[in-house]
Formats: sequence, structure tokens, C-alpha cells
Amino acid sequence: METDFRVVVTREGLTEIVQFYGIIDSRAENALRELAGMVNGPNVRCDFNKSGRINSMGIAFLLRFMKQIRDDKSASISIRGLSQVNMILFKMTGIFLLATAEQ
Amino acid sequence: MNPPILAFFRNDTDKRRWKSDMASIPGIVSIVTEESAHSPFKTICRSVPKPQFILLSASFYPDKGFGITTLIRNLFPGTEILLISPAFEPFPDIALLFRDGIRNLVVVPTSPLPLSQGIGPVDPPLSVAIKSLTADRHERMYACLRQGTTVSEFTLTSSDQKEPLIKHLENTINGKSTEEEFLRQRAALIADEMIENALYGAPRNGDGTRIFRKGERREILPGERIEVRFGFDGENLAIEVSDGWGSLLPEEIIGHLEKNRDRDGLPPTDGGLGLFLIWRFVDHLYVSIAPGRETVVSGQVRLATPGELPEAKGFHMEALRACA
Repeated sequence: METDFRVVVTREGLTEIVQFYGIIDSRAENALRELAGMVNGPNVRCDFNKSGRINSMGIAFLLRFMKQIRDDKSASISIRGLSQVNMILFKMTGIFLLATAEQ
Repeated sequence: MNPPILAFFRNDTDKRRWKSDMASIPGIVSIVTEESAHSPFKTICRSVPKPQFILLSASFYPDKGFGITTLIRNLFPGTEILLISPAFEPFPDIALLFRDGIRNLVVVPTSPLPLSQGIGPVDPPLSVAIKSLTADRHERMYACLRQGTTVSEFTLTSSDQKEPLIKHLENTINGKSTEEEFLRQRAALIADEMIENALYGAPRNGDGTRIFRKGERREILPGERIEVRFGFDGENLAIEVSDGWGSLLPEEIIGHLEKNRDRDGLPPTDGGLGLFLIWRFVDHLYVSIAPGRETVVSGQVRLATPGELPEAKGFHMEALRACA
């Protein structure tokens, strides 16, 4: 698992796939801010299968990113590929108020 | 020989509820207050003028006119109170606890803890809490680890060391079971938040403003000290991070825990989420603050089946007096 954060966006029909790589922490701030401008929806799938640890700063930036694309672009956000701890973390911090978990 | 521990229960039913937990703790003097807290206090005060600390049943909370903590404070000034709460009861109101100067809470599960795999029974949370409360600051790490467990210690010289240290911690939790993987993930997150707090939350100017921005690369300042310790005994992980600033305030911690716990929606944006996450992911949180000298944040986590975290969590917060 790589540790440096990066994000890759691809499109499958009406769904944009946002693939997260590495650790999501304070170093992800700029990339996540730019990401909000790159994603248009209407459906956005955030895939954390290749991401590592997410700390409180990472959560704050993810929340900001998701809130922005939901409010400004009416994007419908889904999430997949969470580790055990990240799943708990997302539930605990309200990320699932902005996005739904894919089965 | 240590002085006795005084344990206060609201009534006989309350005392019976705690009977089995109390049985393993030596030197406990139990007091049932019934409807009036005043008369038993006078008798006890004469017989135990200086208890080691006080165990107080959470059945007194929310305080319905007993004013028991005020009475305890008057009779035993400076004595720590450990509130004991069964997991099936609602989590005590943190603001009320703080108002009453209660900085120690243990939430005790109602079902017996499972036996560990071949290494003996797990210490119940109440025992661990009492050991932590009575242990010397430097022995606290060992209080929840089996005897003979190696504790690794590191002194940070730069923020660049955070990731290699977390990697080392992850490697310390060897094993490939889902329980071990779950512990590894929790340990990494806890260590991350503890180290970030020491690197970026603790260093403050005289007016309380933070010196460093979260995530910026930084060297440890001359005279500054950040130490990381951890040990894993095959089942329990103890982790501790100390900084030489002593800038954290107990009110601040309680505020963050309360604000994040009671929110209904997205987390507040004014910080404190990291501390809240540490509290939620450790089995027991211990914070010791010597203002202007040192803050120690430590926690204990044990192997568990992946899934939801138990809602209720205990803590100890010790605020030592400032240097004269």
C-alpha cells in the first residue's frame, strides 16, 4: 500500500470514479480542494480500496469535498472499499450523511 | 500498606450490582448512602480520613439533590473520584462530571469479557482503571500490559519520523488474524492523532495561539521534547505520547469530547476531532497535564473482533499543579 496521497478520476457513463491512494491526512488538503473543481457528477463514486489510514484532518477535508460537490453540483455520492476502521470512522464522523455506502 | 478506597453506592441494589466487580479489588470500604448522604459521611470521615481515592457509583448522576460530590470534596479535598458506570446505563453527562471536578470515569461492560487465547483472562476495565489511577506516572504504561512486556521508546527529532514510527508500531502487532489487523488499523490511527497533537496542537505562544500549522514539516525545537512509547503483549496494546509543553487544558479536552459526542450531524470545524477519535478508539484514555511542563496522552487497546466500537468509553484526566 503506497503512503503518498494521490487521487485519480475516471468516468464510466454518468458516474465519475474517484480513486484515492495513500494516507489521507493534512497533506491531502490541496489535492482534495482541487478535486472539488474537477468532479462534476451527477454520480460520484469514491473508492478507498487503495487508500490507507485516514486521520481527523483527512476526514475534515473529505467532508468539505463531499459537501461542496453535493451542494454546488448536486452530486450523488457513493463510497466503496473502506477498511474496517475507516468504515467506523466514516459512520462516527457523519460522512454517511453526505454519501451512501455501496454494498 | 495503601489506605483504603472508599466506594459510595446509592442503595443496596446499586451495591449488589457492583458486588462481583468489587470482589477482586482489595481494601475497599463500601458505603450505602440510602436517602441521606449526610450521616454515613460523618462516621466514615472519622474512620478513613485519607482514602486512596473514591469510587462513586454513576447512579448518583444526574445528581438528584444529594450533592454528594460537594460533600466528598469538602470531606476529602484533593482526593480523586473515579465514577463507575455500567455500560447498559446512558453515558453520564460529561459537562456535569466536569462541573463536579470528576475527571475519572470507567464504563464497565455488563457481560464478562472473553478469555484470551491461551494467555489467561483479560483484566476487567475496572481493574485496569484502578491500576492506572494508582500507578506512578512512569509505571502507567505497564499497568495494562502483562509482566515482562517490552515497551519501545522513541524521541522525535522531526515530523518526518511520524510515518516510520507508525510503521514500526504496526509491525509490532504481528499476526494475520482479522482481530490483529483491526488492532493494527486502530493503533495506527491512535498513534497518528496522538503524535499530531504533540507536533502541532501542543506548541503554543504565550497567548495560546498555535505555533505550527497542521501537517507542515517541522524539526523539534531546541529544548522541546516529544516522546512516543508503546508496548504490545500479544493481546493488549498500550501507547503513550508526551510533549514538553503542558498546554492542553482539561476543560478543552472535556469540551471536545462533549461537543463531538453530542453532535447530531457533521463534526464541528473548530478542532478537537482528533482527541475525540483517540478517545473513541482506545479502550481507556488517560491524560496527565502538568501546565507548562508536560502533557501525556495514553491509551490502551485490546484485540477485538472487527465491527462497531462500544459506545461508552472511560477516561482519566489528571491536572497537576503548575510549577511554583
